[in-house]
Amino acid sequence: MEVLKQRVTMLTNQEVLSFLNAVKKEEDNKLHGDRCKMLSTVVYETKKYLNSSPAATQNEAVICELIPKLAPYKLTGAETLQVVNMRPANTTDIQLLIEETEERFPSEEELEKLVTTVSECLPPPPKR
Amino acid sequence: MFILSLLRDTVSIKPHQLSSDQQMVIKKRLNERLANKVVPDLGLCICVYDISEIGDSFILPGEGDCRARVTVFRKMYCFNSKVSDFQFRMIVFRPFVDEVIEAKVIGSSRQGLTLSIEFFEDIFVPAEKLPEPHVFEEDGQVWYWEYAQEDGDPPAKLYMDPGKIVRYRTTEIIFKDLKPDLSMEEQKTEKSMEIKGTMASTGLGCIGWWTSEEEDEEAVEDEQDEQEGVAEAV
Repeated sequence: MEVLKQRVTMLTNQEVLSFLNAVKKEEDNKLHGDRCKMLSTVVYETKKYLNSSPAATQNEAVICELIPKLAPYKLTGAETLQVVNMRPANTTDIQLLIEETEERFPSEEELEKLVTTVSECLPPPPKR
Repeated sequence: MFILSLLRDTVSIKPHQLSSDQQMVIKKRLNERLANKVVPDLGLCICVYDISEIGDSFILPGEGDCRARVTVFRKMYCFNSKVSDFQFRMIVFRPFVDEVIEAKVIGSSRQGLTLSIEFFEDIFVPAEKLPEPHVFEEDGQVWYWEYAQEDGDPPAKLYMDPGKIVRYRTTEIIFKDLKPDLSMEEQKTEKSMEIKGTMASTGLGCIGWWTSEEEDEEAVEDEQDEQEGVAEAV
């Protein structure tokens, strides 16, 4: 086996979760002998983790709605991905995900506006 | 956390599988080979995303050929496996450096904390990367963060015991090529992929530490909404 390109793209947790849901459905429809044990295990465990993360309540539409709204804040690709995956709900959370927050967001209000944008677009995560 | 990687491989398809959907057969073979396994310097493979290009297929001479040299092609086809060369994309777990991830504490020792995200359990936060000042309690083998309070009260002990959900920042991913003939003991300590993390920064550590009061209110409101919803349903 050969690795042609290590990272074609990054995936949001929501994309992975919805793909795994489809894989699970496909596997369930197969005969017992046709199923792959290793695959079932990793799909089950990954789904278990993602189902308790903010990804569980998201869908493609809400993420597509959020991305253009983040444009004025000039976040990097990795930061945008983190924002979607973690759904920061306060300024402490978002400072963690954005590098050099103080320089890029000199006013606290701007940062709070960003938090509000994210909280409005993405639904609250499932309760633990 | 997850990336798509482009890989290339060859798979042989057994004669009895030639009649079924080739894409399905190939996907199954690949998942058997790679799902839930670590590829060195890449990451932990989750599952095949799609097959982008099926290259040339060829049939290797085998059983059928040696018995009769002049085998008609059709017969050969029945006896031999078909080998396909193709490219496919794989969902791979490979966090980037500086990525913040939520995980559950599953182990605690003087060396540090071991964290789990269900499908991957080799995440380690060394003691020196725990929030400062940190204290190890011999009794119970747990770590706590000695949080100084503003109003002159004795510092609060914020525990990081197993079962707690914490946030850590990825600092390093270490791959190790393991020999296949490891003893049981070596298998337990040696890891083909290990993530090192830190919790020494504002916002990291147990998730309960940083939630503000506003959010609690929001949570309470949600609960009330739910209760109202239930009442309406009744």
